[in-house]
Amino acid sequence: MPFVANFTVAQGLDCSQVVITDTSNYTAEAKNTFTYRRLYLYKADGTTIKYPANSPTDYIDFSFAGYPTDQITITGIDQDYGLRIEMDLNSSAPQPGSIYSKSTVVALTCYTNTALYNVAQIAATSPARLDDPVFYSSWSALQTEKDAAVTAATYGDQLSADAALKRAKNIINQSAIKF
Amino acid sequence: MLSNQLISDYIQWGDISVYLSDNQYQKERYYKWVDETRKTRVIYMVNEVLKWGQPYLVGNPDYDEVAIYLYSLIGQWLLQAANIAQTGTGLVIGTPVIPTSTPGAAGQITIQVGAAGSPIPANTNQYTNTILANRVLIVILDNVVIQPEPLPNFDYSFNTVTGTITFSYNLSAGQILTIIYI
Repeated sequence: MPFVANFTVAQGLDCSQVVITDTSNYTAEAKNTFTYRRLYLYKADGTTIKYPANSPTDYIDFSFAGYPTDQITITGIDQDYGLRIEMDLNSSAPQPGSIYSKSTVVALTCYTNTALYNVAQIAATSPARLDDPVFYSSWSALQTEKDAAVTAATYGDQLSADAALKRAKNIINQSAIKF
Repeated sequence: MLSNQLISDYIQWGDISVYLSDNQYQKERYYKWVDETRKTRVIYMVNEVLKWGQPYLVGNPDYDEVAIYLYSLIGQWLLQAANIAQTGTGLVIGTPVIPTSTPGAAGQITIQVGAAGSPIPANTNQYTNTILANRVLIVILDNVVIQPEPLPNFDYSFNTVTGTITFSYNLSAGQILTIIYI
């Protein structure tokens, strides 16, 4: 059975972190047949998120020796992004039919979700706020942007996902006025 | 403190209430010119927040408050939503259950009383057909819809178990009996 590179992306409550787990099946090709494993977190503008922050390279060294559990927690995520995440493996003995690179678009929505949670709390404690049209329309717009980002990422549209998250950020930044 | 299971129930009821409330508010808007459709949007948004927070925030008092807020928002549809969620026979999930009392399609029987081979001999007042069991009937005699008891004059009684119709008077030869069963 050929080797196929695969990974998952997750965020918890700490929005500054994203967890990437390599879920490739290494029974097909053993880990010691690979010379490196690298991650690229491409932003919409083509630049990459560096980890550690002072890393001189565009890629994140997701080495087998450094991360034997195949999981890496990347810190320093300062806002929501539409990211294209790519994992590249280099095999010392490439096999026909095997796939050593995987790329996927994800929408990191933790900051937006946190803001939506805060707004829901305001509504829960003060339901009368819904009578304020600015409050309601801003809440609804924020939800729309989050849904749009997730949908765009599902379709692999990184630019649209990122644009929606930037609009969400603008709404959040004006929260003192809107909420 | 709300349990994880209860939060799951709220979320499910919230999902169902989104379409139940939307159905109601859209009708209101169209027929009464009263627009409350944004309440559906609020239910959706609060429910989405609950979904996002469930893996991390169950047991948190602030999260409970949001969950209780959702519960209050969907109160109008709660019983219906809970019923749909429980039975799986709602409009969205599962398939409707056809009651066992109506095992087949609607139909019509036409009989000429006293004709050769007719199941209703002349000067009798009863007709039985098991296909009528547990059905709702419209009985037409000589082009007149007749009512079951207790209406006066000519009427009939209907045994839903056996499918037997018993008329209050004997039927005469040549009369045409039509039964529409649903």
